[in-house]
Amino acid sequence: MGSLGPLIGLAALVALATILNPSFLTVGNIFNVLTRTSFIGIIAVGGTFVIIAGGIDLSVGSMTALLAGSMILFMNALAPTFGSGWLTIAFGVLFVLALGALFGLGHGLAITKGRIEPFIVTLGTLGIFRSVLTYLSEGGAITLKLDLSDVYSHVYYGSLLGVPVPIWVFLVMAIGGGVLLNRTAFGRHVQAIGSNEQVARFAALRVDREKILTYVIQGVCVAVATILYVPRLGSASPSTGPR
Amino acid sequence: MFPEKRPQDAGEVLWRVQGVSVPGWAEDIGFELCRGEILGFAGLVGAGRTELFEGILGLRHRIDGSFELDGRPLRLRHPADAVRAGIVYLSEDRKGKGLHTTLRLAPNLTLMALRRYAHPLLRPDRERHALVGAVRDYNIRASSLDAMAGTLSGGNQQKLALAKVLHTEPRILILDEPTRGVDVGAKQEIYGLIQQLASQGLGIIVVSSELVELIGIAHRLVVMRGGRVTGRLDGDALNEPEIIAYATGVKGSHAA
Repeated sequence: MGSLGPLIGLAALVALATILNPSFLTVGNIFNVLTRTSFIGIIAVGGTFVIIAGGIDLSVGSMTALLAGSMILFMNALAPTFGSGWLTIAFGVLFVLALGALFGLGHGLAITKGRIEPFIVTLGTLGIFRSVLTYLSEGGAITLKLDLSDVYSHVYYGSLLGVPVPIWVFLVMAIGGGVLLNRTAFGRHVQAIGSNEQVARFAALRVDREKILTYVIQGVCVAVATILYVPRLGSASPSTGPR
Repeated sequence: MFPEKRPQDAGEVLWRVQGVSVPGWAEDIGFELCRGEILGFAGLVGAGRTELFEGILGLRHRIDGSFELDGRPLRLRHPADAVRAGIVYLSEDRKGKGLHTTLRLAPNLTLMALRRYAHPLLRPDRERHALVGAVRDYNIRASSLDAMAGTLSGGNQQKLALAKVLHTEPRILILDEPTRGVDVGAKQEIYGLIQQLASQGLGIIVVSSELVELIGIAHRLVVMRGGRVTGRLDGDALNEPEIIAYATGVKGSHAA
């Protein structure tokens, strides 16, 4: 019953919004809302692992901004060599996934091996990520080259079987996250660590390694959200990020 | 209360531990454990027994210490190394280190042996099957199979904790205060289980502050005081005055 609470709240909100404006509950609007929330949803999938393991990552918003800026700069730099097409975008995607994983790894190492509270670590990187982006963008915005942007925009604005691509990605990530958390040894370890880290240590779990992995997953999820975010506006500035 | 002691077929050393030091708690400790043997560790609270074993398992910083299992050198750096080698430790702190009280029974039971249930996806039906088996084998009384581990009585929690470490099919079982906070009925069951496991060839170490318990089940005793071994007792020397004499320093101030 307790786990139904959020769902009941959501149903109440939808009902209220529909009463205020009947066009709220139309397929077009629902897809619009879902497409826009899919970024946050994908980031939340990663956050679930971190939080269930007993940690927190406050930096996801500014990490999105820095990843977006870095991805754009990277693709702009590759475009003259590899052309303004899917090849450059594919390299950009791989780059941003690796960078997101690397940021997560940094968080995980600082928290487990450096023994610093996750709140402090990620509050620190929250500021650092945004500062680095401010530096890279020289205080302004980093913009994706127009011809690249035209190609890449299909990732955000395109749809598959009538459903926008970001919603598909969110769906796949959410289902994947659910399976990983509930049906794998790693997921069970994460739950055990969050439930009582000391007991998990005494049960011979590799607590540090699993905790680092949760931050890496968070970083990769932020990168996936970024991959969907960049084609929407084709630019990143220090104020970019889900908010 | 105690099952009749079975003579332990002497010989065949299973586990040899040498020169273990845990800063602040234990200095230069060594002992041997034979197959089928129940080795007791006696001493006053604070003698460093718990810390010694936490150090050996890699749960606490340790300096020095070498180990042999079946005559082959063994590296113990992380508790997972010990589990892989078949050595498990059950803490005296059941709620703080032994069981996940806010998780259900099955995840507790299978936690240390999850690899067996992941192919690569976990099989909850097989975990459930294992739980039904453990509840029967270890006589765990729970209001429901879906209950949280924390809702069990002390004795049943301890039986679940035992089932959990035994689920890894270990060769060496280290029990720290196995009957603390456990009712008389469950105590008797635990003693019976320890004896039965020893007769199956496991090497068992029991750390206990209850002398009666140690005298009742152990084949041999190591007595510690202030982080050092002060006495090693067996046969007729397994009696209360003798143990107390070594544990308090009246005897054996520097036995090797």
